Amino acid sequence: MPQQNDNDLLLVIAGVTVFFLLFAIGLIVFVVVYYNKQRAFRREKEQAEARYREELARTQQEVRTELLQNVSDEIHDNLGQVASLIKIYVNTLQVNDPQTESHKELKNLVNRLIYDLKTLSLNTRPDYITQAGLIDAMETDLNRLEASGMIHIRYEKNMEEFTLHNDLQLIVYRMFQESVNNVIKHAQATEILVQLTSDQHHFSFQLQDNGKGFDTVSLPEAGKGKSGIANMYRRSVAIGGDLSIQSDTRGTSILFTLNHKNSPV
Amino acid sequence: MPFRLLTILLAFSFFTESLSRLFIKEFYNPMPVYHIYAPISVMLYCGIVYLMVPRKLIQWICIIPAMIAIPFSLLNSLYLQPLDEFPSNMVLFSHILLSVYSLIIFYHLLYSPEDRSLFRNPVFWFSVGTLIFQAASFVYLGFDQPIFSKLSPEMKITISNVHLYFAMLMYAIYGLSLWLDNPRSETHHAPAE
Repeated sequence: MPQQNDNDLLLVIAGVTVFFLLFAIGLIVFVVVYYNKQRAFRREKEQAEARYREELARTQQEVRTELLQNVSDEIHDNLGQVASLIKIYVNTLQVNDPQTESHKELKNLVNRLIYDLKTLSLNTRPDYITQAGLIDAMETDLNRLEASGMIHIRYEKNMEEFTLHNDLQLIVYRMFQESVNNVIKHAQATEILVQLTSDQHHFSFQLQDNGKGFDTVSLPEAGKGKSGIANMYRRSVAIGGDLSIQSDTRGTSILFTLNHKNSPV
Repeated sequence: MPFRLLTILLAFSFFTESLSRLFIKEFYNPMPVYHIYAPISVMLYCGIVYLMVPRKLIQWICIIPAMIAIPFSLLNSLYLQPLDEFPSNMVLFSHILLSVYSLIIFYHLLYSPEDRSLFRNPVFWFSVGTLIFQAASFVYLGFDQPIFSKLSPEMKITISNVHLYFAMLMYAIYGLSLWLDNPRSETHHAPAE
């Protein structure tokens, strides 16, 4: 009888053990499969979030682009036309009345307004640089400036074939614009010499004006001080270029050089 | 919400088990209590799984057998089996059904994984608790078959006790799932992000 009890006990222990083992194995398999599924689920979720962020950024960019396009069109089609009409009337006044200093000043201001509006209109066009190309965009700006009668432009170009990434072209163009605008706004110059130079490895532009100059001691080196020049320095550093500004009472010289090897793209 | 029903189920189970002890003391057989307990517990489990698995098809798969359970239980108790017979057909049916419910929840967990750890998921622990007890009950009922009729009375008591331990384990796991479902436990144990 005790032998029978022992056998019974062994049977029960074996049954419970097998049950526990099967259950534990089933549970482990479930947990492993679940965690694999969870990893896949997280991966999909992250991908979906990334796609969402990308789409959101693209949409925001499209909205900005469209807004800029609208602003550009509005400036060109509306404000530009109004300014041109004012210029015609001012010219009529000059014919009928003796030419006074105030008339000359008025004419200069209107020319300046038209130039600013056209520049603004072109600059706000998001695809301006990529469509026109860097050199054409620079030359267009210079021609417009010359045509406005505000300043005399001397232009020299010594260029070999070179290629610049679209993003770099845009940044260089913004720096060039900033340089020209500084001359117009602050230098009180009557003449500006613009030189473009390039070879397979370098690209540079140089602007020299005959204006009043400014104190270069206070020039910012890292984004401080006058925001326009500070932006130029920051952009130059960002694309691996070299910006040099020299100024005295005879005028200012701005030289920007970009070595292709140093550029990030 | 499903865990409120689970709380009701636990309270009901506690009441039933107390009543069954009384029946054992007075009538030497608790089976009449389980004849009534089984269909009600099936309904409660059905409600819990219905709320845990928000998929229409699975919800219907849960509801239909639970709806069948009530008339089946009545017919069984009135015509097929005397109230004191063990094991009740309804109890057997409920063990099968609850095992299926538990497997359905496991399937649902695999079908829709969540960000949080599986071991912090009260639904997982509820399902583990249910399956472990229902499976243990099958083993327990298996020992009641004629092939094991030679088992000594002491051994039968041992087996019954083992089954009881599994029941205690199930209730402990239910307690864990209720604790994990508590928002305060989430706050304390959620990984810092």
